[in-house]
Amino acid sequence: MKYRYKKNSYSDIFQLAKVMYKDTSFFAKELKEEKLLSFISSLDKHKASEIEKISKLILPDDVLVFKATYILNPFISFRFANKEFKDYKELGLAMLISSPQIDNSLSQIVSYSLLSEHMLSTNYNEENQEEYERIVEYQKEGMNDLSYGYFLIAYYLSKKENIIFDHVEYPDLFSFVYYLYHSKYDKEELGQLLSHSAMLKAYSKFGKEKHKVDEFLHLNSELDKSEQDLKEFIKNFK
Amino acid sequence: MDEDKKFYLLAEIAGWNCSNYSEEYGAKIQNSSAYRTLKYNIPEAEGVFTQDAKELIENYNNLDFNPSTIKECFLLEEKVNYLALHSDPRFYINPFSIVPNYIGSISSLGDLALSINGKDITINEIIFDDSITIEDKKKVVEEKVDYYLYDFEQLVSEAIGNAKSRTNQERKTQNKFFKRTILKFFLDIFLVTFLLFIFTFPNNLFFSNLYNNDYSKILTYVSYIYPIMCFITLIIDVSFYSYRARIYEPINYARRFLKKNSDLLFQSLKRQKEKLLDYIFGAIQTRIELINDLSDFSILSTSYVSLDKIVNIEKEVKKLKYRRLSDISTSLSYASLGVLILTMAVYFISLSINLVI
Repeated sequence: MKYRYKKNSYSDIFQLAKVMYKDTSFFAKELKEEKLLSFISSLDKHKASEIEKISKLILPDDVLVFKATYILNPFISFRFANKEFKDYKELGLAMLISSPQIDNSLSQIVSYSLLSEHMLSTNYNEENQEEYERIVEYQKEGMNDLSYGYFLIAYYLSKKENIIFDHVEYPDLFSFVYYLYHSKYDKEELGQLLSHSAMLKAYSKFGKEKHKVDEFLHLNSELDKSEQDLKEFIKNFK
Repeated sequence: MDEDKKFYLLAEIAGWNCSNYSEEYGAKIQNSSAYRTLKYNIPEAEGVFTQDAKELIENYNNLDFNPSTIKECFLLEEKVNYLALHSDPRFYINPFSIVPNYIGSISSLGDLALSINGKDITINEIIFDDSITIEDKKKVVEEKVDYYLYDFEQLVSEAIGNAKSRTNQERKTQNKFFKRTILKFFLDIFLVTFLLFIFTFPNNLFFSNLYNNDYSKILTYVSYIYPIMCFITLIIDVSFYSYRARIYEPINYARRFLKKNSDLLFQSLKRQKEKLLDYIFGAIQTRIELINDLSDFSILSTSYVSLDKIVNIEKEVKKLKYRRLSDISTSLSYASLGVLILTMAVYFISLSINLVI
């Protein structure tokens, strides 16, 4: 039995799994259709049954296809939403490049814990237990604060120690501030953005000037807290 | 805090000099609603005898509105917010040391604030909060009441002037005052003695001059000025030392009492603590709101010592009346010493040369 997709014909599920990430909207539909499911079932009933289960869940197309990919072929490199990463470092860099914003597509990796799932699928966790545990921890952070979890994982995987902002990497805080001062950004908007920035918060864990950024964030959060406490008190008691 | 200052804070931390952005911010904080709230609340705190109130006033007086860096602006604003919040009487009133006729913005023990799970809430709120177990409520209330007791015990020890805790400066001041008092005493004795001497010793020269009132002679003047000076000096000294003794009587009594009976006082404090706990625990168990009971457990004026008078001593000795009397007494002592020396000189010289000068 063969499965035809575009001009190609696939007779094994391992090869098919390698290309599914390139067209997630198509394969997300196909995974719920008889044609693809019977093809998979003819080669491996257990995998077909697993895929049937997950296709009943309400998942975004990228996530469904990702999960199905690693059911069909557990050991391939990380492939998600039409992007292939030869290693985790490359994934981290891709996540970081959109800073200070998060890449909406890649953020699903954090919100659906796909990275730890991949590590388990490829048995990466067995030889890299500490790394796996850190990723699980950062994914948990992402459940409370998606942006923060995202940048924690991005910095951790990429091993970067500099600030990356608007696709540019700055060697130190001094030059980063210089750029900002001369940029088109309004200073008030910058103040608001930076004082609550998940990217800076993650940088304060990994960056080479982490203590300075930590001090900045700490002063802001303490001031915000004191303002908030006073406002709440006045609201409740005055 | 202005949002742009947050950017300049990062710039400053990165190594940029942003001091020009901090210059006008001190004045802005002084005009903020937080600072105005704090300033409004401070006078009420000045009449309260607790460590928290004392610290609040100290911190308020130490606020420096001339920050030279953005970081200092942040710290200043945070401090003002914190003090403004804690300037509400809920945070610093101690039910054990409240003055019996206290009139303030709170009237009930239920209005007092305590902290549970990082959040400040009042005792009345705790009573009715179903998310906290009764055991936890009692635990947090007991911790707070222990703190109130500790605070009050500190107040008592400080007020009575535990000799061990006196600073060198305080001991020097006391010793200086004591020496001055002894000198004044001897001066007054000498003034009176010499006065009696000149009016009783048979000296025709002196008495004839006194009756004839020859105003070209110095002896005439000192004959009148000296007695008047003695009289005024004695009156002022008696007034000052009587006033001082009256102020210090409670503390002197307390010291004498506590030398033998300190256990009695501190036991009564512990009994009062138990009473307070029973009262609040009862309200917790029965879910009754506490109202109009703020002064019911005050032990500022006990049957043993008047601690309210003791803690007011520092205020009394700083009052204008005390300082004026003290200054007048000292000045008169110097003046009367001068007059005494002059009188003695004129008297004995006249006597020795047998001629009125």
